[in-house]
Amino acid sequence: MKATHLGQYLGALGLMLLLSSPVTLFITSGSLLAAGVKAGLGLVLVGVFLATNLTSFRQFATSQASVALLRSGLVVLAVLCGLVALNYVAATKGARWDLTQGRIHSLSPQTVTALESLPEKVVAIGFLPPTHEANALLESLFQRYHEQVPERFEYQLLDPNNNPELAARFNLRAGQASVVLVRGEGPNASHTTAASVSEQDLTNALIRLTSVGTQRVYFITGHGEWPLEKDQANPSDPGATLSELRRQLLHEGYAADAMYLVGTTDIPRDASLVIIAGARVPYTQPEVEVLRKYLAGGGRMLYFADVGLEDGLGPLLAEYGIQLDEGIAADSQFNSGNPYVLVSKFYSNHAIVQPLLQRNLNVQLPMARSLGLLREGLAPGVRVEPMVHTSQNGWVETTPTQNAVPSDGEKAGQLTLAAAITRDTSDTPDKRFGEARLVVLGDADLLLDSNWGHEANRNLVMNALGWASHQVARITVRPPDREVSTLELDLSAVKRMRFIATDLFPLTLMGLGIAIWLARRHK
Amino acid sequence: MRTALAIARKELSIYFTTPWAYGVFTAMAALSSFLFVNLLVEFQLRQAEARASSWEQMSPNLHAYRNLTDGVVVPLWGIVIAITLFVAPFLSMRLFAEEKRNKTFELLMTAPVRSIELVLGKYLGGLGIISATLGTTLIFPLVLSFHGHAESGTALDWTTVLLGFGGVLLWGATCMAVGLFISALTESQMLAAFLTFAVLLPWMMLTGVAQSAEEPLRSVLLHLSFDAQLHEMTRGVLEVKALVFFASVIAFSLLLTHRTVEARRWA
Repeated sequence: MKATHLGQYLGALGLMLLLSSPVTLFITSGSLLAAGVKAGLGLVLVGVFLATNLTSFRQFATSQASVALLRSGLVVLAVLCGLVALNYVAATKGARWDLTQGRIHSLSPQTVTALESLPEKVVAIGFLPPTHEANALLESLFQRYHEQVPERFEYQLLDPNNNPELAARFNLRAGQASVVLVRGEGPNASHTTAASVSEQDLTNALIRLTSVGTQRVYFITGHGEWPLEKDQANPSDPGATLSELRRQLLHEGYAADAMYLVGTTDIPRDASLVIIAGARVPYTQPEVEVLRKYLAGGGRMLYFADVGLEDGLGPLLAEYGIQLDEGIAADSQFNSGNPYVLVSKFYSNHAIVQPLLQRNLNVQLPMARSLGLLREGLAPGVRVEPMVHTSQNGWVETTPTQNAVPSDGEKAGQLTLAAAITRDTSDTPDKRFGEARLVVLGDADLLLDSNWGHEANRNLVMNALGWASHQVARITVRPPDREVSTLELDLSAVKRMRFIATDLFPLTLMGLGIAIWLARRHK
Repeated sequence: MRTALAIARKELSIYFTTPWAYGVFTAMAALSSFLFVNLLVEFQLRQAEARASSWEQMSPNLHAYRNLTDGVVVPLWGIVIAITLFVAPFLSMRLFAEEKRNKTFELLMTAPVRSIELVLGKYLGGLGIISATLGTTLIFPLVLSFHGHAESGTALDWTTVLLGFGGVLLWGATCMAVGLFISALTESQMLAAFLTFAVLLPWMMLTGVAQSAEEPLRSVLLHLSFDAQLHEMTRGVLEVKALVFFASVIAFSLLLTHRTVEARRWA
C-alpha cells in the first residue's frame, strides 16, 4: 500500500477521533483525559495525513479550484457567524406569544404577583431524572418564572441520582421527581417542596415559602355545615363536601381545621380566620357571643349563607350592616338558562373582585340569597362595601316556581350578592388585629367539591380568604384550566373511524398512485 | 425567480405522476391514522377516569386530557413530526442525486440556469411535495371537530391546532432543506436518504442529550434541538427564536447546497 493512501486512511480516522472528542467530554464519559487523548491522537493522525499527502496539497493550493474553495469556505463561515449571532439575539431577546384560548401557557396573575412580591432571591431546584416526562414542562415553567423576575428567581435542573447529597439534604426519596424551592443562603436558608410539576403548585409553594408563619383557618362545625372531608359526606351526595377547598387552602399555605364552638369561650388566638359555610341549625346564644367577641376584637370571618337556612346569626350580621333577604335571588337576563342560577359580571372596585373585573370573569351562583345593606344599628366603626351584584333585572323570588317572574311586593332591581365589611378595632383592649374583617356571600354551594372547578367562583372565594386574612399576594386570579371538551364515540363509532382512518384513507391514496402508474405505462 | 418556479413546477409534476410519492403518502396516512385512533382511545379512557373521580383528583400530567386539542391534536403533531423524520429523506433523496445518476446534471449545468435558481427551484418543488404529504394529516383535526363537544361550542382550539400544523410544516421544510443538500453531495439516492436520516435523527434527539448536560452547554444544545424548538409551537405558543432557528437551518442548508452545485462548475 502506498504511503499516501495509508496517510489518507489514517487522516480520516484522525478526523473522526478529533471531531468526536467533544462528544466524549460532554456526553459519553465526561472524562477530560479520555477526550484529550482522543483529540491528541486525532491531531497526530491528521498530521500524518498532511505529511504523506504534501505533494497533492501543493498542487491543490496553486490551482484555481482551491481559490474558489477558499472563497466559498469564507462565505459559508461568514454566513454561519451571522446566523449564530441572529440566533443568539432571538434566544435572549425574542418575543413569545401565547395564542391558546385563555392563554393557558402564560403565567397567571397569581404567579406574577407572587414573583413580584418576592422579598429575596429564591432558587428552584428540579430533581428529575433526565428521562422524566415532566422535564420539558418544568424547564419551560422555570424559564418563564425566571424571565419575570430574573434577579430574584433562579433555577437548576438536577438528576437526583447524580446529586445524592442534595437529595438527602431535602429528604427526597430515591428516584422521586420533586421541585424544591430554597429561600436564603447558609444556615438561614429555608425550603419547601412543590406537590407536583404544575404552575399552580409551584406558585403555591412560592407563596408558602415567602409567607411568614402559617395562616390557620378554622371551619365552624356542629350546625350542619358542609363537612371538610370526603369520608364525612352524605353517601347520597358524595360531592357535598369542602375537601377541594381544604386542599387548595393547604396548597396555598393555610392550615385548615374544623372547630366546635360549643363549650368554648373564645376563638383560639392562632386563628387567622374563621369560616361559616352553610350552617342549617341555629347557633346557641353563647356561641353567638363567642363570635361577637371575636369580631369585636379584630377577628376575621367568612360567612356563606344558603337559601332557606336559619342559623340564628342574623342579629350579629345586622351589627355589621348585613341582612339576608328571605327568598331566592333571581335574574331574568344574566343567568345560565335558569333564573335562579345567577351569572354576574357586576363587580364593585373592591380589591377582592378587582382581578375578576380585569379578566372579565363571570361568577356563577346557583340558588343564592341576596343581601340587604343596613345603615342603622351598626356596631361602631363598621364600614360595608358591596362587591358582587345581579344585573338591574334581578329580584328576590319569595314563591319559587320553575318559570319565575317578579311579582308585586318582591324586592327588585340590582341585588347585592356579596359584601366586604371592615370594623376599626384599634382601640379595643387585648385585640387580635386593629381591624376586623368580614366577608358575607349569599351562596355556600359554590364551595362544594362539585362546583369548585368553576374558575371565577374559586378565585372569588380564595381572594376573599386572602383579603380577610390580610394576604395581599393572594388576591389575584389563579391559573386557568383548559375548557373541558369531550368526544362521544361508542364502540361502533370507534370501529368505523378506525376503518376509515387506517384502511380506507391510506388505500385510497395507494389506489390513486397505482392508477397514475398504470395510466403512464399505457401511454 | 421565474426559472426557479418553472423548475419547481417540473419537480412537482414528476412527483405527482410517479407512484413513489403516493407510496409515501400512503405510508404517512397509514401510520398517522393508526396512531391517531390509538390517541382517541386513550383520550376516551382518561375522560372516563376523570368522570369517575374528578380532574382535581388526577395527576397534573393527565390534565392534558381535559381537552381534545391538548389530549389528541398536540400529541398527534408530535407523532407526525416523528414520522416526517422517516418520510422526508425518501422525498428529498431524488432531488439532485437522480439528476446525477441519469447524467442530466451536466445538462442542467450547461443550461442558462443560475445555480441559485436551480437550488431554489428544486427546494420549492420539494417543499410542495412535503406540504402535500403533511397536508393529509389535517383530516384528523377536521374529524375531531365534527365529533367533539365543548361547552363553548367549539371542541378544538383552532389557533393552537393551526399553529401546531405550521410547526409541522416548518419541520418538513427543514428536513427537505437538509435532504436537498445531502442529495447534492451524492448520486446514490439510497445513500442520500440514509445520510439525511442519519443527520436529522441525532439532531432531533439533542433534547435528551441536553437534559443530561450542565449549563451553558445545556442551553446551547436545547436551542439547537429541533424537538425543543417545536415543542412550544405545537402547544400553541409562537416564539421568535424558533422561527429564527428554523429559518437559519433552512437558509444555511440552501447556502451549502448552492456552494456544492457551484463547486461542480469549477471542479
